[in-house]
Amino acid sequence: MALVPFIDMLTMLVVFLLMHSSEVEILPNTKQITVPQSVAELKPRETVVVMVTKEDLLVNGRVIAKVSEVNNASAELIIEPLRAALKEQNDSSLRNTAQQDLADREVTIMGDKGTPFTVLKRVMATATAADYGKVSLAVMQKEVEARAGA
Amino acid sequence: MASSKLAARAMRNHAKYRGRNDLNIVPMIDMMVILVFFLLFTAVFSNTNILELNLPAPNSSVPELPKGLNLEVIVRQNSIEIADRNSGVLRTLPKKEGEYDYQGLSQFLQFVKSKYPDTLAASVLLEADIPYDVLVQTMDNTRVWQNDEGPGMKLVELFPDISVGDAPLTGATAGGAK
Repeated sequence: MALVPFIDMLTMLVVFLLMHSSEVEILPNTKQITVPQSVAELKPRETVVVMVTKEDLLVNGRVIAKVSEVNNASAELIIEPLRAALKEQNDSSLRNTAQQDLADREVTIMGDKGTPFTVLKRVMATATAADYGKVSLAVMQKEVEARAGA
Repeated sequence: MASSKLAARAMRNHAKYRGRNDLNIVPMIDMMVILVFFLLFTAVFSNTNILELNLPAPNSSVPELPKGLNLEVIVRQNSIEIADRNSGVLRTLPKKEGEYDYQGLSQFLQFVKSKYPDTLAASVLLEADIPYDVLVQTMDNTRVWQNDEGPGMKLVELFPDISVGDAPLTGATAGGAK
């Protein structure tokens, strides 16, 4: 029957896609931000995610503050609503061991390419103030070959 | 009664498929198509990775400066400065055509690494309005350099232990070279 090659192709497609989807996506994928590229090879772990878009500051998908407010030069170093939200995450979603051991608590910052360092610094300071021991930055994987030509 | 109903259905099906000797693969194709679309939509085509930072704990006191090299990469609005906290600025790399000179940075850091092979720590210090992208690129060039010689690409470690901080004001290097 003429359907057989069609089924062959479908089977190959299914197997190919299955193999590629074995990698679990941990960090949220959004169109709102462009994460910078890097040659870093460390895989993301299950952590609290702070996302800095062009307008908002989000913790695990919840809007916490506006970037324009945070970027204000006269603002405090510690972002109080963010600190409260991070503390709350700490109590609810983290593993048991992480609640005892400060060094095990992790937060991943996903920032837009253009985020000024002032904002980033405040977010990092807040994360440390909220008793998180490790801060990581999310980046997009860059092709190593592409870098050689640059 | 139920058994006779089942028997009647079996008879009907038998009549329907009489003379057909191939498998009915249509339901299988249906499932395949559904699977293909499902996997296509959930597939991840961009890999996100993470860069780890070396931040001090909030209650720790200011650590003693270790002897030897305290490498600092200071990103300013118009240039990148490479400095040692004890002896001051080692090299200033001005922007080239509006772009930071990452290549020059990488080359100079390789030179520094060859002088101090045991040093792993470096600080990246930024001025207030430097975008996040520049921070990541600078960190990349401080962490590793890419060895193009020989077969294949190799990433060679430079200073993987990176701290991030505020850039000192122009003209005064932290630690008081001035």
